[in-house]
Amino acid sequence: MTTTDLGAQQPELDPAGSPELLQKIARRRRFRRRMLPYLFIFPWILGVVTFQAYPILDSFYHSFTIYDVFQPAKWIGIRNYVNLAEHAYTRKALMNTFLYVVVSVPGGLVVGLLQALLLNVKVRGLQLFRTLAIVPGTVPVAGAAAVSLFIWSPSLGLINSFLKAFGLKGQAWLSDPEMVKWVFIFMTIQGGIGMLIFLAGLQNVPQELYDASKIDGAKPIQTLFSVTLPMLTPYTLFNLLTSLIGAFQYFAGPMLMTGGGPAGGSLFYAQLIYQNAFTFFKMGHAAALSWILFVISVIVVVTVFRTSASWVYYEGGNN
Amino acid sequence: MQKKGFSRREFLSLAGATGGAALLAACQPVTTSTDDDGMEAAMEPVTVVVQSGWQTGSDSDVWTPCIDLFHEKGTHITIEMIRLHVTPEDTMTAVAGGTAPDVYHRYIGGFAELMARGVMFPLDDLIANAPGFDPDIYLGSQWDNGKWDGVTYGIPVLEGGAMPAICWHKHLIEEAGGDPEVGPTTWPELLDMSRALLTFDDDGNLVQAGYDPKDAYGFTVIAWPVVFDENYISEDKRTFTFDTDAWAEGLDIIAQFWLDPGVDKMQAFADQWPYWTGYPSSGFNNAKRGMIMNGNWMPGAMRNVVDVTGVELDSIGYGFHPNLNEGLKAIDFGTGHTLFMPRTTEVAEDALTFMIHMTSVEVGLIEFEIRAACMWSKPILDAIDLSTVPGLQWFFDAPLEADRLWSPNEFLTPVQSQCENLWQRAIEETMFGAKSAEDALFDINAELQQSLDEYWETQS
Repeated sequence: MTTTDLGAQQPELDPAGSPELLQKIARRRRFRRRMLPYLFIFPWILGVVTFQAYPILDSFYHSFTIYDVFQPAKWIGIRNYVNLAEHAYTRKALMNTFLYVVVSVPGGLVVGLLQALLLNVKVRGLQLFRTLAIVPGTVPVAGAAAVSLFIWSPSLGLINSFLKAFGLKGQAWLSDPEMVKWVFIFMTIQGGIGMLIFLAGLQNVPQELYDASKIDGAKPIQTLFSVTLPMLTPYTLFNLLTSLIGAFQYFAGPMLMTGGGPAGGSLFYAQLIYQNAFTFFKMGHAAALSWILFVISVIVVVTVFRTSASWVYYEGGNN
Repeated sequence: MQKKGFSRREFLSLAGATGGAALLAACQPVTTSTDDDGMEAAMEPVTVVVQSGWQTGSDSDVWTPCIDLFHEKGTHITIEMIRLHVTPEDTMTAVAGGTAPDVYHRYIGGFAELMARGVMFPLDDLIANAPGFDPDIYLGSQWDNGKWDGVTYGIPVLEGGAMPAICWHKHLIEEAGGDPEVGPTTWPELLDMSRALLTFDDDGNLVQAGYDPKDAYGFTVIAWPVVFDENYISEDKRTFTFDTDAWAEGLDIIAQFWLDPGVDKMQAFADQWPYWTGYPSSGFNNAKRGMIMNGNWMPGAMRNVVDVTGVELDSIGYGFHPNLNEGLKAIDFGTGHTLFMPRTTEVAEDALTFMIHMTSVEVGLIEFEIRAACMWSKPILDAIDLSTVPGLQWFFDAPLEADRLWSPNEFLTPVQSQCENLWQRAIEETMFGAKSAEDALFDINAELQQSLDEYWETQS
């Protein structure tokens, strides 16, 4: 029964009224009933429009302007985009970010999956191990960055002290422009939330599939590749997409630990946006940079979605 | 029929109206009500909010006694202190959002672009009508500290202008073959002495350094026009001039101080022995660094931690920093602590009253008591005895002896934060061999010029 039907069945309050009036009242009631759900979601719509849609459209406009917040924006066409393409540090930040995405996203997926497989094994103390595995992901980024500075410090750091204990030479982890980006990649390759999602996925794999594979004489490694991984592909897709989007926006660690240095070695794209907006007061450049990142992210995400039909298995689906 | 409560319709209408009203109210800029009803209204109690993150800790708090002293004067003004570091970014967002305090205290770097963009409140008219304040208490270019394009936006206070010197441990200079009483007087001499002082342990770690150009004062780009005797921006503030031979020569010299010991070793050493002489762990305090470029706060800072460091204050030498224009005694006089008002303040006159209080002899004495530092103000210098702090006299004589006093007005730019950032980039690119000094400077010059042109475009 639809809301329209419900409205039509309401008893009229004024049976003595004219048919036109009654129809008008009925129409009004039907309209109100149709509108009621929208009224309930209105606060959410208001929030999205005010705090997301408007800033997004506003940033698009400002990407074609010179704008420093205090002076009125001045329209300059596509000049921001042209200038950014010429800046060596835009290319450097893009390359650093691509490297980060290409290495840390697959790395994070593999580590998350391996952790989940381990934590899916029924052993004593399983809950403790699961808790310990998720603890690193609960540490605030600023705290983790402060601790990491001590870990990677060339003179006082734990890692160099460890290497020294084995007679190995310490490295200038954070002060070498080439090495520093690998430090950040290494730091962020961890299971985290992705591991939890894989773990949830593992527990949803039907036991009868494992039973069937056992009857067929499949070895554990064959079961992993023929049963477990295919059944986890929807979770892999989700983790892949969220990791990709997050990796393109990687910001806090380098910002707090190295400020993007030395010599741009750890300058990632999101920090370049921040620098332009809030340090250089170049909101137009920052907006243009943001839109470039948005387009790149969309292309990557759409490509992943398009290819997902060939490698993601949905139970009850066509493939 | 009597109503027992809200109908659904009434509830939704009321909720919608309340939500809408709340949203509108939230979008209103935060303002303080003002009253123009003459003297009676002006004397009503007023709160002036001041923000600073400098010297606010319990063991070195300069602000509390200064504010207490102000309150004791019994004006209608109450000072409320926000003890939070002031950055250009925060200031920009606070002023744009209408939530800025009434007075900002900050070292001038980074505020130039805010002055240039009209974010700060012009003070000239207020100062002209302020009783009991005479800008002549300052010497020369120090008063220019808070000026942009001829308009006064800030008042120098507390330790005021930097007056940076080259400072050295006499015994180390002697070890390096120099005259302990004279110190390095040319860049080549400074480089030779620095090389001679480099000491490594058996593992190859640097355990003693000579001079580090990125030290307590050299970390900022504004240190370098003075000691290169070469500005990076034209007088009309329309052209960057980093792409000159003098800057390339200077940058090569800067890089050399790091290349000699090795960039990684120098960085590791800097992590272990920081620059700032206010820390007991400072490399210079512990004679792990032979020389340092530092401002007039240094003798007091070192004295305050002498119980921990044990450094002999009388064994520190001070002199004009070597200059690329050999023999020139040049000094940055003015780049220092300043009080500004954002344009959003509604209590400008009252805020100025507090700002002027902060230039007073009484405040100078409080700061001298706590920090053994002060600004170059004639009445304050008459009231204190500089000789009680070894080394301090040099800094206050230097502006009088210098051949050239640099004013911040000469080298601050409307894109100063970017200028700082890109200068660091040029240093690092040269140090790591990614680019030659000429190329690194050419590139940052082009990028800065683009930003400067954009600034001027918005001004036209």
